[in-house]
This record gives sequence, structure tokens and C-alpha cells, in this order.
Amino acid sequence: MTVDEKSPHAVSFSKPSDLEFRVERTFDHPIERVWAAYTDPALIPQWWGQGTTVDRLDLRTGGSWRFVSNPGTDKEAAVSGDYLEVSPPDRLVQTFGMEGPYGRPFTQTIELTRVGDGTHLAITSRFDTTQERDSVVAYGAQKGAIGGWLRLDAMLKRLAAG
Amino acid sequence: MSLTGMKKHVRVLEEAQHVSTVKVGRTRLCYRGPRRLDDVREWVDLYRQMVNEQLDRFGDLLDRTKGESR
Repeated sequence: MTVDEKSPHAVSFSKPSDLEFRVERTFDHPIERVWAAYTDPALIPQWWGQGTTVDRLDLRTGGSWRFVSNPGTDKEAAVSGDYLEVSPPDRLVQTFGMEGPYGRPFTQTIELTRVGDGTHLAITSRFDTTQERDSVVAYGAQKGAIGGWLRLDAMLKRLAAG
Repeated sequence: MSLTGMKKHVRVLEEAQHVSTVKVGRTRLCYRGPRRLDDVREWVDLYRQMVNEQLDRFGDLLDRTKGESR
């Protein structure tokens, strides 16, 4: 599954292998700034969504991180992992686990590449099995639905109608 | 396609709930559903939308903080 819209800022989704999926986008900003925005604990809550707060972020190879979304509500959920490789400004490898009954952590490789004055961002998530990859895509879909209650509602009605 | 081959196709579709069948006398009637391909695509679309929105916010943040010495 690969979708490439015409716009240079379109997000591209692909499945490079049976165990991976990749998300790519280009930004009109220098690589150093993209790296900083991606890894700065003061900036992450501004783009991550779901009211996310940074509980822990020790940005070094061997360090760890933990983000809490919707803190203090009944939708509170945490994601966390370890930094396997921290090589600013172009490469970050981390484990990514959803705390709770959501299966094993997977590995995310974030690669930044200079493109002219801008930066290409590629996030490749690698799983132990194809089934885990697909279930994480489905989980992400459910989270995405939070921002679109009407669509979810319509879908549930259709499913119930069978 | 052979009748046997067709039966296999129908069985696979039925197990995946894309097709329901009812036997009426010597005839087996096939219906689409209950599951629909649209639902599968919808989940993927929702995921795509979530990632799109997150990276849009990331891009907005970069635009907003342009010129700041970070």
C-alpha cells in the first residue's frame, strides 16, 4: 500500500516488507530544527496530540522515554520505550510500546535526510510478526477515530446493521 | 473456473464474512456481507488520518517556531 499525493507535503504510507510499515513526509525546514522539534520534550506535547505530556525523555543511546496521553482522564494511556541509537540530526532508533494489553513493543527507526533547504522524514516501524503490525495499524485507527466521532458513529451503526 | 474451484472461493469468502450463503433445495444462494470491504478500508483511512494530523501539527510547529534559536 503506497499512496503518493502530488503535494510535496503529502504523507506517504508504505509497507516495505511483511514486518514493516513506513510513514514519510517532507518539511520546508532545516534538518537541525526538525530533529529538535521531534525530540524536544517541551515541543512534543504541541504536536503529538491526545493531550500528551512527556513523563520521561532521556535522549541518549541506552536512555528511555515515556509519554502519557489524556492524563487524568478515563482515556489515560501511556507509550514508552528505550533509545537504541541516538545520532543527531539524522537517525533515531527506539523501541515503542503501548502500556497495557496491546502486545509487544516494536522498533521505530526515524531517519532525517536533507533535501535542498528542507528535510525528508521517514519513520519505519518494524514488528516481530505481520499480525502485530496490522493490529497496531488497527489500534492507531481507533485512536484516530477519537478525533472523528461522527465518522466512528456512522461506522458503528453500519457494522451493527451488518 | 470449475465448480469445485468456485466452491472453494465461496468458502473462503464466507469464512472471512464477506459472503453469506443459504441453501435452498439444491441451490445455494450467496449474499454479500455481513462484513464489507469498505469497513477494512475505513480503518486504514482512519489510521492515515491520525498520522496525517499528527505530522500536520508537527509541520505547523516548525512553521510557528521559525526564526527562534533552538
